[in-house]
Amino acid sequence: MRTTIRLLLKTYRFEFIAITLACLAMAGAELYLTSRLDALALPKECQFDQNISVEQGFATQPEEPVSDPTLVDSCQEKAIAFSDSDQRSAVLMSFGAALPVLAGILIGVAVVGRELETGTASLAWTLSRSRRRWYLTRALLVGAILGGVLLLPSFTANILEHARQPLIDPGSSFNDGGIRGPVLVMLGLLTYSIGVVTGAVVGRQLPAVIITLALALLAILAFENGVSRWESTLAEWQPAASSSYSIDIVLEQDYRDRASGLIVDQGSVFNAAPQVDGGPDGAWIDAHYDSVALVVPGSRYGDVVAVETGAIGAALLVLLGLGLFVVIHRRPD
Amino acid sequence: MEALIQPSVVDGKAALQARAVAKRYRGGVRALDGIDLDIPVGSICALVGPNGAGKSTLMKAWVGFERPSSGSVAVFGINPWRNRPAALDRIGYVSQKPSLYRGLTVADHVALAGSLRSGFDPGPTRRRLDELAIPLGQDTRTLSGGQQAQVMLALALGTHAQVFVLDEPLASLDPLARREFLHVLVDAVRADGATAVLSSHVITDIEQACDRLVVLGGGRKILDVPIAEAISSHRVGTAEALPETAGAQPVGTFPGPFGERLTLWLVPPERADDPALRGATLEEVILGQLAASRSPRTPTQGQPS
Repeated sequence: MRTTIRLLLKTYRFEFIAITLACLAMAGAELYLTSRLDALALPKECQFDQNISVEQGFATQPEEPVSDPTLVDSCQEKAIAFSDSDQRSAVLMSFGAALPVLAGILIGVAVVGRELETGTASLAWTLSRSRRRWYLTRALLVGAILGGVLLLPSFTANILEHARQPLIDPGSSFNDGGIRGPVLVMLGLLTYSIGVVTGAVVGRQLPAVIITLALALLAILAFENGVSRWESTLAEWQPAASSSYSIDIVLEQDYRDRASGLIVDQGSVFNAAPQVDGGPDGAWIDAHYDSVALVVPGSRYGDVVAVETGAIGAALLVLLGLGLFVVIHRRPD
Repeated sequence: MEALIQPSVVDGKAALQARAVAKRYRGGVRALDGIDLDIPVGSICALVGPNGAGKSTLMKAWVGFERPSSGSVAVFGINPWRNRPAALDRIGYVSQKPSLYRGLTVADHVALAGSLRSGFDPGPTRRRLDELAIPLGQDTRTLSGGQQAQVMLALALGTHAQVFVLDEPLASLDPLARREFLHVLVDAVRADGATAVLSSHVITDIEQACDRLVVLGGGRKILDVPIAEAISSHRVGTAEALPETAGAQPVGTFPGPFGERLTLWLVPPERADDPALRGATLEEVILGQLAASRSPRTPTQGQPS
């Protein structure tokens, strides 16, 4: 097995070096921005945008205004610097989301596609009595190495997320949930397995790269769509004041009738309310209704990640099984 | 294991067999057209024919790369499409194009073969490569075509397979490299008591290395005899010459080296002293047989061999 790993690393050294360098660069940049954000040491009183409630919408005002004038000045200065680094972090994390996809395509297509293109498949498939063993050994080992390399930027993305929102535990927040942590690794492995299958079917690397890119984007869109639908089944009604855009997934904002306990949509409430100064009477609404939000609470983030990871893992197994079928039945040229 | 192999057994007496093998590609292209063939154990057999004759297709069917459209192939009685591991266990294969891993050294390839195939013997493989002055530490990209072919052959021989299938391995080699390649092949095959099938267009090489000749044309088997018999049973004369030997049969007419028309005759071995004819060379036997296969019926088109 040691020989197999050594030869695989040597065979795919260009891909592994490129992916490792990209991951190291991404991790380094994320850690650098983390240190920048941490160095600003934004006081808790200044972190008024950390937990914006549903009721406050996207307002950037603190719940309790800062009374100390010197602190206000300090807050402004630090908040501007913090915001600058935060914006850079957001851009970096977006690039970080593309990295596993590109890495998965780059090496996934090569695992079988290059063997077919260069003719080495005929050598390997006659030396090895079992194509199944040949395929599973290389597909699983290369996948494991790729997953191991991708762990680093996925981990540092979590660290950066915590630096961007110091008052929030990234493990209990849906903010940037799809572009950090284990989901990032799994998306890389998903595109890797799509690349393996496409390479095995097409047998040419360049066309396989293009096809894999298109298939991977479709797969990710379908996955995100499916996850969104599934997440909505976890949603629960909560008082709007206790829900946060930065932590939870807020699906809907409505009112609960205090008398009947029924959920009523905003339009119906505004129509029912007496009109004051050309608009609905807020005091009347507050007296009769509670503002509520349908949310997937951030506390469910771990559960969602576990299910997402499992779902992608299942898709990986199906795709690798499909690749096995193709390898067993196709000609080597 | 016996239960797995048993249903795949066709005959079991020959190293390689083909029974009514036909192969049609998409678009109706016919590469093989009902081939029946037995390669005897211990022989070194030359598979000869023009491009498109079906040589590569037949060889790939034996190693499990091409599935016949009809009929069956067998390796020591084992159908490679029903029991591929058992069939491949008995086969060493060298492809038409040297297919070595770019960026790996020769030694890496020996290690790779050891990791892929249990029973692969790296010691003799390294020694053989050493004797050929092929540096084990050299990147295979920097090897000449002849050296790459030698590496491919050494890897195949290292498997100690019972039968070697070599698909035009000499195509891109210079005469000296071809001679060395064949020398290594014949020595190894004879030493192990193995069988080999070699396709080639270079008749002198075949004559030097092989003891049996199979000629394919248009996806059909045209000739299948020991090489000595092929030469002794044929005579050549100009197209106008008429043999005096009773029972001599014209086989085919083909162009000679100076543009003259020559006719290949099949004569009984005991009546080989006809003054109107001279002894045929192996090349003339093959040319005459191929010419005969083309003239009376139009051969079907096949894939390039």
